[in-house]
Amino acid sequence: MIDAPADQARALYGAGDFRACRELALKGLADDPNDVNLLRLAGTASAELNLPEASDYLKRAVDLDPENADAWRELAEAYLVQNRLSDAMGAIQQALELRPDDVSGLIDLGLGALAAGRTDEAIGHLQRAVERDPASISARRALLDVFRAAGRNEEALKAAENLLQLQPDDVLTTIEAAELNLALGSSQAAVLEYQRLLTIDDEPEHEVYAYHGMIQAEIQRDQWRRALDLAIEATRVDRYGRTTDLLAYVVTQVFGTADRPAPTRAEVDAALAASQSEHRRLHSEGLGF
Amino acid sequence: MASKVETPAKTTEQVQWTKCPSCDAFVYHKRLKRNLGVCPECNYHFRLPVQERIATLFDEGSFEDLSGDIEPVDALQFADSKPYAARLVDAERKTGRREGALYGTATIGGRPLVVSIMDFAFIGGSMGGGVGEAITRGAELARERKLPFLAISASGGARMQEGCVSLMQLAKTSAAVARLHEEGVLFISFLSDPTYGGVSASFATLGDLLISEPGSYIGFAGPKVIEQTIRQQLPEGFQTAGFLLDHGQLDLVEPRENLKNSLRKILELHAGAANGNPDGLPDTSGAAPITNPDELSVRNPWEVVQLSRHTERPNTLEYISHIFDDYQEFFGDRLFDEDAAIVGGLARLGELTVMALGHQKGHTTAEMMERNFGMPNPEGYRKALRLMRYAAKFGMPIVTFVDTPGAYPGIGAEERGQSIAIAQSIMEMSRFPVPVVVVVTGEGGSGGALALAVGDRVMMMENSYYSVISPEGCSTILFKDAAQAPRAAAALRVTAPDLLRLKIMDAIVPEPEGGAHTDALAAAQNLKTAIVTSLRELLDTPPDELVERRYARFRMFGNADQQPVLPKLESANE
Repeated sequence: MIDAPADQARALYGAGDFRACRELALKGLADDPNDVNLLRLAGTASAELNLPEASDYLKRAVDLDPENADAWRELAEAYLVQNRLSDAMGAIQQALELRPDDVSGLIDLGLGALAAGRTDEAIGHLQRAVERDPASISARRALLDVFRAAGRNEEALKAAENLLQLQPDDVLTTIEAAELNLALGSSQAAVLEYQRLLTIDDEPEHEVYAYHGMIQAEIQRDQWRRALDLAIEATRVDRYGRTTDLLAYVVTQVFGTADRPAPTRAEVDAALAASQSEHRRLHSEGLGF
Repeated sequence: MASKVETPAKTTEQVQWTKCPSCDAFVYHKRLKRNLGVCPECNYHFRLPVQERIATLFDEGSFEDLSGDIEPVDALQFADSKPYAARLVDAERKTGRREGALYGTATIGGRPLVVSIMDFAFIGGSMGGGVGEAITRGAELARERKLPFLAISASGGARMQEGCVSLMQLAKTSAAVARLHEEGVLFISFLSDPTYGGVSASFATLGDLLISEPGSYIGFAGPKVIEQTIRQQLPEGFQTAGFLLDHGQLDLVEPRENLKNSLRKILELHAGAANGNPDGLPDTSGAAPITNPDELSVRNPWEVVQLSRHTERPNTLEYISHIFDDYQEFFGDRLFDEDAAIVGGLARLGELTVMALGHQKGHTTAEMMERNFGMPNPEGYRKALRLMRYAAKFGMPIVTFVDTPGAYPGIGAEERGQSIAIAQSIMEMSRFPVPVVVVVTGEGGSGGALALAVGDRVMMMENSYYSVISPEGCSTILFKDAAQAPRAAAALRVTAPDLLRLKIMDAIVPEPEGGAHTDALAAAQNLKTAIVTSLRELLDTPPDELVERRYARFRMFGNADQQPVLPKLESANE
């Protein structure tokens, strides 16, 4: 039987009725202003309702019960939603002191540091997260993202490869690994990743992206005949004509002329980069926001 | 690959951060969600999953999904590298949906409507038989229940795996929309990112209103196809919602945070359209319009022309904001361009919804240039006509504000059919089965003015003028001297008293002493009184009678038996 105000409010929260949850919690707080559970429920429900006072309730909760790691995390979340990054990171630190193995806390700390522009600190937190739980997809994914954001491509590639050990068929990570190999000049490894991409990305009409990546790699190592074969293959599967200019460019490189004016190398590079970016976006946004 | 990670099983925590594909910023997931999926750093509008779209757009818990039995039909038993049937299974696993669209009922601001929503995550939002079914059933239900229909599209185009069955969905959905239009049911099409091919070339662009979000890509052929074909670099922002708005193809581009409110407002305005009762008109406090020319003060015609052109004189948007509530502007001619020299949209007058539109000038040089000095191109007239047709379809009175030196004389305007656009507008205005009230608020420059001035009641502000040609033009042609413009203004009888006597005008709206620009609010109150008075007289008139009287009103001009003749000017022989 549910009877205490906090239990009732929690049940309402669980049912998604944040307004009623908040009202009940506030009513209970009128009788007992120092009830930590009610403060937490008032705070988290207020956060769901986008009310700025959410963090005030949660701050009172941690003041009253500073050993409560969950309350610190809730406060951190309220701060993060309000984009109060430094307050949020302070609250996460407090939670981590109480619960040092909380990997999600370390991830938030790392990505919070990245959002605040403190890249080295971000990497440190995320490396700790990976150490704590080497099987954590989220931690490894975040570490890869941070390395990429920092332009540390070798470490990013390592992170991507480690992530692929855990989930070999992950399209997004495979794209990252291929791109990083390209960026590091490892054309052969890039080709292999793009070939693998052909087999694991079964979204209709996505083959062209993998072909474009392979062409990019072959151009990079001056394998023009292979680039030509791939460009012909890409043209075959590309109903939107995104490969036509690319084919003209490769044909010109192989035969010295083509049946249409070829774009410049800079234009080709830009088009291939746009193709990869579009592919990445299709998969990353497919995850929802 | 690197050495194997020595862990037995992967673990996943809830991913709390999202990387913005536009600015690469990492945004806390809940912050992004509270911001309706709009990146707080760069304003990039993320593609919304269907459930999020439902949550952000409709009243909480109001959406009722009626599409449970809709499913794809593999009529061709199609297979490429994988059987279509297997792709459908994958798509269902990914989205939790059996088809790429659903339909049902919902409310926005308590106003009920029928909705069909496409899911881009389901095979790229491609339209096959099942998707076409969700759109068509939505349209049919809206028609049956006489409820507004909202279609939210997100699609790469037709679904190849269904072959010509897929192609036929263009016809099926368009035909369903045509029946909606015939029944006078409102159809709002929301084109989300991306909307292409067979969807953009069918129901999605057939709405009474076409609305989108910033940054959405919309078009028929993909940009790469176009680039490869024409071998030119496409302009920045090509096929974005903003690009389409600038090119007259969308009514509105609303940031996501405003979208629900805008839809609520439009639905409320449409609910007001049902109220044709004169009792719904507001009380007004302005001076009554003058119908007896002897009651008008006599001003030198050239002085009136100068006053009508005064740079501080109130313009159409200012009058609209003073006279109406809840003005919702719409843009574009749906063909070529958005012409800022004409503005228009829905507005509320008391409990009545009207279509308010007119020529738009500015006060500063920059504003004047932006509005092309109030001289419309054909696109402006086509926009105005589109909006007036909209009003006629939904039984809304039309109120026009005329203030133009004339239609724009330019090469492009001629190439795109300036004469045809003006003629079409004049003709159709004469037949709209709804009350049409016209007020010349400043310059009434010839055909460019008349294109918005064929009404049941035609009025003018006291210090405005209306003429077949500008006094300067007449002076040059007939008096062989541009300096004779004041004399031409007098000879052309362009002012209120003379036009009232000639029955060109039905009434004159008084202006504050010194002109409308000295007290814009008072001028607007007088104008409001004139509009309300006219509508009160017209609203009870049956549509057929309204149209016949309008015909008779214009039929009399130049008929020797009916046309009043003015006394000769004392200075006529000077």
